Amino acid sequence: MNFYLFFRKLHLYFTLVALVPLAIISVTGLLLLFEVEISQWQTDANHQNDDQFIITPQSIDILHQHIEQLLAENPQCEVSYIRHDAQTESLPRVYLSCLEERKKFEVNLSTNQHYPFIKEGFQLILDLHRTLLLGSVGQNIVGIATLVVIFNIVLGLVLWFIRGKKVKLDKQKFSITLSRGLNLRNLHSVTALYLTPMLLVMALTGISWTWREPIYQGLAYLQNKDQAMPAVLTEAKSHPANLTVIASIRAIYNKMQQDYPQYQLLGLAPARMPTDIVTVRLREKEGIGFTPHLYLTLDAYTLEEKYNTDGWQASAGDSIYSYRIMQYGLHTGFLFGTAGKIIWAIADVLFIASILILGVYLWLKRRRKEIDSKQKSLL
Amino acid sequence: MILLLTLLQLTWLTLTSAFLLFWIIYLGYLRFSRTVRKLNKKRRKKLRNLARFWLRRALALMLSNAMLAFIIMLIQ
Repeated sequence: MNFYLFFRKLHLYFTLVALVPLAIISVTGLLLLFEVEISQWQTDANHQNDDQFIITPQSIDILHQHIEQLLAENPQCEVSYIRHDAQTESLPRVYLSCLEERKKFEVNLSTNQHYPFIKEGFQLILDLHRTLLLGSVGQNIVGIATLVVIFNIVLGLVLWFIRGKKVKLDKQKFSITLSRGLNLRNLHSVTALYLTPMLLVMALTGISWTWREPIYQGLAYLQNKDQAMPAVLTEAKSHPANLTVIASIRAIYNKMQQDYPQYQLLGLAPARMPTDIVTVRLREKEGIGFTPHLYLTLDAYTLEEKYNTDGWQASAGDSIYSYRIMQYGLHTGFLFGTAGKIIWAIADVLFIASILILGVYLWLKRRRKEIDSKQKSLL
Repeated sequence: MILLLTLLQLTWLTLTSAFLLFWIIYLGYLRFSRTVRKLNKKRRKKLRNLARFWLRRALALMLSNAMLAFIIMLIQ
C-alpha cells in the first residue's frame, strides 16, 4: 500500500474513532456561540438585557447596593467574582463563595432586581462541550478528539499536496468545481483547506483549555522560562503589618474609573485569603472584542498596581500569560466581536457539513462502489 | 506580536510533530506489514525510499521549531 492509500485509511479511521465526540463538540460549540441571543430570546421580560443600557457611575452604585443586599441575604458568603458581559451590559453577575457551595446571582440594572442565576439548558450544553458529561474521562476524550482534528488536518494536507516526491500545486486543486460541475470530493478538501487556519486556532486553544497545565508548562520549557505565569501572580503573599483592611469593591471600581476611563471592566476577582491581590479584567470601550485583553493585578490593601498585561501588546516575558489571557477570545472568536462570532459560527457550520458529514458520505459512497464492484467480479 | 509568535510556535510544533509522526508510522507499517513483505524487492525499496525522503523533510521541519524557539529566546 503506498502512502496515499495508507494515509487515506488513517484519515478515515481517525475520523470514525472521534466522530461522535467531534459531532457533539462542534454542535454544542455552535450553540454556545449564540448563548446570549438564545438565552435572551427564551428568558422572561424581567431577566432580559436592555440593549440601550450603558454602564454609568450611577449604575455601578446600584450594583454595589445589590452586592450589599446579597451579602446580607447570604451571611456566610463572600464575593469571589463579578462579571460584566460586553454583550449584556445591563446584566452583571455576582459570584458568591459560601462555606459549602458557590452561588451565582444576576443583577438586572435596568429593572433594579437581583435573582439567582441558573443556566439550565446552557449549563448542560457547556458540560457536553467540555466533558461530554463524563467528568475527567470525558474531558480527556474531548482533548483526544480535538487532537484527532489536528492530525486529520495534517493528513488532509499530505493527501492533498503531496504526490510522490513532489508538492503538487495547481489551480484545479483550489477549486470546488471541475469541468463537469460541482465535485463533492473537492468541496470536502477545499473547504477543509480554507478552514485550516481557523480550525487550528479553535483546536489548539481548546486543547490548551483541556490540558491547561501541561501545555503551559511545555510552552514555558520551549521558551526557556522558569514558569508560565508571571512571578507576581504565583508568589506567596505576605500580609503587610501596617495594613489590615482590604480595599472595598467600590474602591476598586472607583480606581478603574479614575485610572482607566477608556476601558470597560469585565471581570473583578476581589482578594480572598490567603492571597492579597485583586485581579481586574478590562476591555477597551471602543474596541470590537467582547473579551477582556488587559489584566491588572492590584494590591488588595493599597490598590497599588502590581502588574499589568495587555494581551495584544504584552512583552516577551509575558508571552504565555498573554496567550492565556486571549485564549478564550481566540477559541470563540469573541476577541473580534460580532464579526468574529459570525465567522467562527460559519466555520463551525462548514466543519459539520462539509468536513464531518460530507467526509462520511464520501466514504460510504466509495464503500458501496467497492462492494458493488466486488459483487460484479464474483458474478 | 508576542501573542502571535506564541500561537505560531504552538501551531507549528503541533503540525510538524504530527507530520513527523505519520511518516514514522508509515515507515513502521512498511517494515512490519505482511502485505508489503509480499511485494517484490524493487517495489518495496521504492516505497521505503519515498517514506525516507519525506521523513528527512519532516525532521528538517522539526528543526525549524528549534529555530523559532531560538528567535523567541533572543527577543526576550
